[in-house]
Amino acid sequence: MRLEVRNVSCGYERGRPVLENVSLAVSSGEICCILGPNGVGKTTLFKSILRLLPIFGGEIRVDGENIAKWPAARMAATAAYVAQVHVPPFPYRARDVVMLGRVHSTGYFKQPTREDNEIADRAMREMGVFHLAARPYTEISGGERQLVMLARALAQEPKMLVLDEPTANLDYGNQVRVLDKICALRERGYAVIMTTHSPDQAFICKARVALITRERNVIYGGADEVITERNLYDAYGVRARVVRFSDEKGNVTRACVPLRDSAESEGKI
Amino acid sequence: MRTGRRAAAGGRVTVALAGALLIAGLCFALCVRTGAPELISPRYPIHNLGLWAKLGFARVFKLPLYTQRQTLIASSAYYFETVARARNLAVTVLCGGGIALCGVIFQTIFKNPAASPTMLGVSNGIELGMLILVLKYSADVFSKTTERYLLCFGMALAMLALVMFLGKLVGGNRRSVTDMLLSGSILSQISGVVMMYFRFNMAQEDLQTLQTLTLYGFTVNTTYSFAGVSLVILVMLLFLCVMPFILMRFSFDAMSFADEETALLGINPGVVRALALFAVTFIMTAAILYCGSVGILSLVIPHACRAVFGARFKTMLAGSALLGALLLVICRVISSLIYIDGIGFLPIGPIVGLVSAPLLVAVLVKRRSAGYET
Repeated sequence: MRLEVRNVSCGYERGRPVLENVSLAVSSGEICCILGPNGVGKTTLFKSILRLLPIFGGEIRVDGENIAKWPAARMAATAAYVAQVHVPPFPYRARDVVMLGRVHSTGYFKQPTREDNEIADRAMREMGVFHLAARPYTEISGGERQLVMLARALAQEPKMLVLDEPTANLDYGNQVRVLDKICALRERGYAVIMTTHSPDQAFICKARVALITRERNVIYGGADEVITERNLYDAYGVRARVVRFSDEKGNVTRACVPLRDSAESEGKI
Repeated sequence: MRTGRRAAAGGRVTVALAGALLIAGLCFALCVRTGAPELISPRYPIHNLGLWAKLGFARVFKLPLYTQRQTLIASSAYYFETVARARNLAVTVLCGGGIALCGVIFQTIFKNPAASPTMLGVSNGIELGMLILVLKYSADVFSKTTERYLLCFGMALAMLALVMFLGKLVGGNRRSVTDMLLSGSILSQISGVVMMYFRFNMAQEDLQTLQTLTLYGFTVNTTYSFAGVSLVILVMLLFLCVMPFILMRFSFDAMSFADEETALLGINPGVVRALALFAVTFIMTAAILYCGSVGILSLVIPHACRAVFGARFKTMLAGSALLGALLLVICRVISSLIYIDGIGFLPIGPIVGLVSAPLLVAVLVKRRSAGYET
């Protein structure tokens, strides 16, 4: 599967686009991180890709086919969405939440079959949350909730996962666990698009990056080439050092370390 | 894995037990409703039921008695009352269940445990519809079946649309249910003022009719044949309105989540919400027209039900229909046991209020102490 965003202009009002001429592409087995400061248009781009907002120019294609007129069920069978903060008003059991991933296949009037139940159970096992099946979703921890939402996304049996800040509000341990699962899903052939506020996560996942700067330019490419000290400054207005290090297996990875005098030295880079 | 399965099985047993208890309670309340007034009130001697049964058997088996049916009926002052009361009972069960379902549906589509048709203007719209009916037809209002449905339904729908419009005006793009609830309370005040103005300025006879309608609904003052046809129409329309929700019980669970999520799960939330608003408004109109001001059930029952049956729409549908029917029948039993000279039997509305309020408080306190949402 290949998602292509071609010269898309998007925003909330026609004539006042938030982002213009954005182009990026994600294929199966790839992760694309959308990075950028608050209010720059990450969520707008995200929602436009998911067709939650209309696009004012350009087109979005999946495997060469324009998705503008796709019915909701076909879209759901192609892309599964995991929202950022998620607390439903009612205490559904975790398994009921995961089962909802099958709604697109049952349609409005049918009930889930035995096969749908098996798919939901399998998704919960894959995410390691089957033991939470009977627990109210409102009573489990934030990390467990995020994994349940990932299980629901898997139960949709999509080709692409769209994750809105999947590690927001999670403690460090849960952040790493969720990222591990996301990387594992990439290995299984899913295409993943996610927004994040942490450039390090793009390095950890070896992702492709769409970095939106404060001038609303989109820099797209591999994490190593896009997340540079200059680009980070253009995007966030702070100085940071990109450091390289090797783990015990000799794998080289990178991380961003902010410099404390960044506010004072603005403009001196 | 085993723990999860055992907990799920335990949950199913609890739900089944609660359902069985509800059905038993409903049957008991129905028996009391049918038997108790005859036993304790001289107005309804027990032989009345005997006559009713005899006529029924005669009709089924074509006995000679059947040919003399009209004479027999005419000779019995109590026959009509017994039949009408049995019919009222059926209406009470349908309305109680229907109103509770409306509450569940509203809370689901608005994703808010405080949303109910009464809070969002539907009840006020129906009351305004009743006012217009009385102003237009005076005491003839009881014979205007189609008009009362259309007018009250139209007014309820208009009021709901107004509440949603005002909510959007106040909240802009937020589309917050809280804004809508606030708008509902503002419009409720305005509709109260309108009602008050007309109450002060209408003829005594019209005021009496309006009072009867708002307190008792149309279950009073109906003739035998009219009530029968009306009951059949009510059953058919309720069936048509409730059937989509029974069929959509799984996909409706997705409606509890944010609209964006619902859409990306493959459901069009706008279409489902429009269908639900239309059907709920109709069910509420029918229920309030028949039973008077009992809309508060739509707020109380879903909370109580969710505490017992869990949040799934499927179990909520069945549980709330049963619990709503049970509570309304109990209130009907209580109201029909209290006879005040000069006024008649107590209307059902105040009884429903008296029973519902402590129940809601108990459920909310339990929710807080148990640390879960209802």
